Amino acid sequence: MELVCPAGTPSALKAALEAGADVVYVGFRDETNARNFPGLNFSPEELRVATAQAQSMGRQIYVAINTYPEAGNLTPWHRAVDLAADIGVDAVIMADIGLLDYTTRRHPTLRRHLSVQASASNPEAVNFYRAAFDVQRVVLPRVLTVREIKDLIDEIEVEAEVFAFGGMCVMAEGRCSLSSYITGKSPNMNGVCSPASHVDYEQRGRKLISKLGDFTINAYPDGEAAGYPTLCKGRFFGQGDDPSYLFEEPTSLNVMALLPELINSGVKALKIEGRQRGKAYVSQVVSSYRRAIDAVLRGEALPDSNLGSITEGARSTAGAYQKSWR
Amino acid sequence: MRPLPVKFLSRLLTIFLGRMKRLYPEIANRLTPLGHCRFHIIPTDFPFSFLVILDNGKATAKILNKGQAVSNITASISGDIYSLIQLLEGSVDGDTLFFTRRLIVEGDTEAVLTLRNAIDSVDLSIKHILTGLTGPLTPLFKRAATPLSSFHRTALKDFSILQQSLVGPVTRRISQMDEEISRQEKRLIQQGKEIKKIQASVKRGDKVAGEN
Amino acid sequence: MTLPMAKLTLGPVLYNWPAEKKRDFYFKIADEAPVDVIYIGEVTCSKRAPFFSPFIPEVCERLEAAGKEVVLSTLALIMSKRERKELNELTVGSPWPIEANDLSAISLLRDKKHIVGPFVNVYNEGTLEHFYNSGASRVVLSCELPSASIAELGRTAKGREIEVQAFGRLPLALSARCYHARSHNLTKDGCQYICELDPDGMDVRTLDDTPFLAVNGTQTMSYTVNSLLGELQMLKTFGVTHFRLWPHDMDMVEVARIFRNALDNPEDSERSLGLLQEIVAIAPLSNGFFHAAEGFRMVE
Repeated sequence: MELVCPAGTPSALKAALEAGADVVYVGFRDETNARNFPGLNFSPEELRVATAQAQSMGRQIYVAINTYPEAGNLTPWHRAVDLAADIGVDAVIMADIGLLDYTTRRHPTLRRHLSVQASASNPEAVNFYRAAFDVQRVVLPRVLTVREIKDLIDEIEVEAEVFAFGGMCVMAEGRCSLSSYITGKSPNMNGVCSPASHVDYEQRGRKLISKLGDFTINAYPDGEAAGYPTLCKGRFFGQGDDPSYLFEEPTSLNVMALLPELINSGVKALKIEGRQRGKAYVSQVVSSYRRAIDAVLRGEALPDSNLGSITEGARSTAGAYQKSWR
Repeated sequence: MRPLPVKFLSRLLTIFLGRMKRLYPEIANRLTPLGHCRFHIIPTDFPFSFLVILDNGKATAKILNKGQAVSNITASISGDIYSLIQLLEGSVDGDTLFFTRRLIVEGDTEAVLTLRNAIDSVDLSIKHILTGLTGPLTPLFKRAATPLSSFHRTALKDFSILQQSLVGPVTRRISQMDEEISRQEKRLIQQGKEIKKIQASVKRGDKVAGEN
Repeated sequence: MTLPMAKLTLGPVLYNWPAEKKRDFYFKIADEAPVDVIYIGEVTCSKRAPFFSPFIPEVCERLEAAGKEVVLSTLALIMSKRERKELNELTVGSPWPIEANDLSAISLLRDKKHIVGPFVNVYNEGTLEHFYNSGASRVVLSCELPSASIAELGRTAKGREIEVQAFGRLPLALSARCYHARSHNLTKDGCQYICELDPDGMDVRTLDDTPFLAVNGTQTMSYTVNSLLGELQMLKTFGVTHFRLWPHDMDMVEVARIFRNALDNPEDSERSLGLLQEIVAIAPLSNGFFHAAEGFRMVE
């Protein structure tokens, strides 16, 4: 079982390695990756140093180049793939078919993983990418139950990686234009969802109001745990006169309790989300999961871990892994 | 309440930022995209606040008395001093502070995130900034193992009291802290003079009092 | 410059309409609407499919008799064994061409003639070329593409067929979770097909009562109604060959006539816009995506 951990900066990478990450995944500091946040990510030189550091410890570096290249402007994405290959990273994580095609032709020996952004949610889709681009691993979308994951793994010829902890998309990843509808910036094209450039917090009386562009996403009475105004995690009016978390609560995924089941399902790697979070988050989550995985593999009970405070809205969910979530 | 030793703190702040720039050049690099920005950092349990001005990655700062008017603020960040220092040192996750409402952000959220990400990209240590090899209190450290050690150990201990008052949970009353800062200011100035004297005497090859 | 005759298409009904209502809708379209291609099939939720399935052959025959091209659309998010089995049967046995709305369908149709639907990501020339090379005869573009990207893809297509979404609430997101059921405090398994209450989707409003999005079962739609009526001529010069209208619970025959007229008589476009606004009562029109702005905006 491989523990795949996020790093948005060199210091977070160091924290992940120290906390027991088998793999650290990172992105370049531009629109080629799905966490294209200001001040975040790696320059080519930083990636070179990071890769040498990780590999000297027997660990691995994956590079996410998982946005969809812009028509007529493929160069930044091609250059990112060329750089990753030149630096000698252990794998690239990609979603776009055109880019997979480029990588397969130019760098046939560079290991290719299918990003969650490709939303391959069934064996036929996964096998398409295997047949066409020889991908070695699929990161499964966060729409499947543990049972469905197990069934899927039985029918695919590639390794499966699943999300264990962190911010959770409630929509099928890579197939969501909500952010660009509201802000003009999308995960697929710009590597951002509900970008900070459009976020406003405003104290209105005894409430903290969070806004995204022109729209109010939530209002938190004093004392209530707040959340980032990700547009699918706000309070809205749908049916009836009372507002509710119509799509999803501001919550984080945490599969700790399902860990034994997930490990038994044949999953090859567990992924922690959060390249945009600080190194303190990385340290805490990675070490908790390291301890938990090691305990389960030794046949011991799950150790106690207190990840409550670092989850969004200070609460967590097993999300789509349990059918009742739907 | 007595006026604050603003002059002393301002000087310390300038030295602090200069050292930060030299020790962690990557931060400036990550801040460059922000262009010109003014952050108002408000420690809620302190009698003053900081105005941090960024110009293409270059940082300057001013100390403001509580309630002093500031204009053209890009964003303001308020929280207790302990949380703010933890954030600066990356020992706590900014989102966590925010989610639990210990940190309040107003204004340009993107600029605040850029600042947070830039600072979090290095293993920043306040102690290292103030006492590293070329820090303002360098002589104290450099000579810690020399015959001057006992004198300098005392000085360092005093410094660590100042540091504790910043880094440790703030439980003291503000007036007490004022006194402490003011006492430390005098002490530092005095020690600075003494160091100069001692250095001069070492140069002359004189024996120094306190040596075996 | 002479351009091929622009084709008007009618996308699959994305909402949960009663089967008889849907059948009657298609009969009317067959008889009256100036559309060239009609896509049929359940795209949104597999639980809805069994109700309309028995009517499909009859409806398709009627449409073909009226001279329309018929295409069967697949489900967009495929997860369960049952959904996979149905997809398999469809791709093997369909007498009509298939619009593939998931990579699984493309995988099953590889090297057979098919259409790549709008729920498959095609953002650039590399991906477009890959799909044409593996049997796609037409590619329907995602709704969030700006004009510059559409123009570039048009250049890549070199006369091969490209379709854009020109009218209707835009399908913005898919999920395993049903928001219609959730909003009514029901589970997805016990949903009572509650989405049938909202034939154009359920409006979602913010805490300030500002209209925000619309919910259609597991799918999230734009609140505004996309209209590229004023952009049709430009799209034609980009090389776009097909223009999709998403069915709504309104006078779709008239909507089709307005778009057909605007395609053929650009000089009428202002008058056409006024007519369209009269028909579309559910929400304002928007065209933001095309203009690289927020999707909900209307850029003049």
